[in-house]
Amino acid sequence: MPGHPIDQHIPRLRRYAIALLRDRVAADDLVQDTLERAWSRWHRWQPDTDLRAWLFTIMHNIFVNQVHTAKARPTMPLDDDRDEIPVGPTQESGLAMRDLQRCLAFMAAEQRELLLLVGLEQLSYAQAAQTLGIPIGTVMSRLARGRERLRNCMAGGLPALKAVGAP
Amino acid sequence: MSAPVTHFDLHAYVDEQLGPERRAEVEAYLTEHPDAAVLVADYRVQNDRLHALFDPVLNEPVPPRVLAPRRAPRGSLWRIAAAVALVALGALLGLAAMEWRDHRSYEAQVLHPALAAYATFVADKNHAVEVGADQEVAMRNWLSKRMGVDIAIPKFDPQGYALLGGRLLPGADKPNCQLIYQRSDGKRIALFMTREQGSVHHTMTFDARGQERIAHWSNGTLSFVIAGETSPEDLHAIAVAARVQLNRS
Repeated sequence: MPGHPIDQHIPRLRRYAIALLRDRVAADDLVQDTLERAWSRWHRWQPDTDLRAWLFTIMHNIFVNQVHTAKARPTMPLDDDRDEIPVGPTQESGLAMRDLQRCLAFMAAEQRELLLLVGLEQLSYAQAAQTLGIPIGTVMSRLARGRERLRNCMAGGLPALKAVGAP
Repeated sequence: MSAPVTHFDLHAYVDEQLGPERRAEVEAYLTEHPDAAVLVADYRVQNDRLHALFDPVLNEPVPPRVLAPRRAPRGSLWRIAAAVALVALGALLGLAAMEWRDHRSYEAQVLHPALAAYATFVADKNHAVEVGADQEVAMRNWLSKRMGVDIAIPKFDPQGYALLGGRLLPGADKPNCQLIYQRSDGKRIALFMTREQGSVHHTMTFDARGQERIAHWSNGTLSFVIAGETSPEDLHAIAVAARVQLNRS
């Protein structure tokens, strides 16, 4: 079924999933699960609503369930040193990019989700609130906390990060 | 005067979620508050770096396995369609199996006995029939009684074949019978009747088995097989005449 409305959103679902999980295999699993569920519930999507937000909502729900069921398993190890995450043209800022990846890994999943939905996927605050199932006030406060945390982390505010460069 | 610019306004400014009016107000605020301007710049860098880091994914081909559910959509409609298709397939297979079984039993219960009887008796000069044409009425009653169904004795004199006589044959449930007709030149044809498969309506079918041409059909009560070393045209004429007379009975 080429040209289905869902199709055009798949690359962005992948971008978000990879940023969220920092693991390509797990990310593609998440996208696949999301598409599967979206297909099975396609009849429930209301055409006058935002399809992208709907898809992200599905992905969020699956992600939350996975985090919930895999709570015992550390999904973001502190010594995470995976280099398979795409790094753009970052010759001059490669270290900053690496810092960003590490700092994202340190963040709480709910903060990372929101930061990515707004900062990367450019969802409106209202769409983000709908996707995550939280009030818009919570979106604002959580976003502010997440960005502050990321800012501190990028500035070297975490001891673990300082230790990275140390011998 | 407008509402005071809050921390949340700074985020909304970075994320371009403000209307033009409010945006202008925040910009004016930033020129007067360098600390806020630094925050805004830092938040922008965060967003820029997220894009720099992850936007390359957008240009990657989507791995096929991710699209697997799209290729085999599991929507409820598809599920119903798949179920319907499966049921239809099952029904088709069932029908095919029944047809195959019917075909097998039709061969075994109708055609084989008919051809065996033809091969056994038609060529027998002196004992081809048990009861001669001179006892046609008695033969008809006898065959009808033994076979448990009214047996008609069709005539093919217009086609050149006169009744020679008939005989009872062993059958699986009820006996079968065979009538033999003979042309003036001695050429013979046989009409075989059986109750096997009789309830199945078989349309008239013409076929050839070795030297013999056969025509066979069922009328809802009996199955008939006409066999003979005749031309196709002769057999056709006889078979049509037989069907007319037998179906009327």
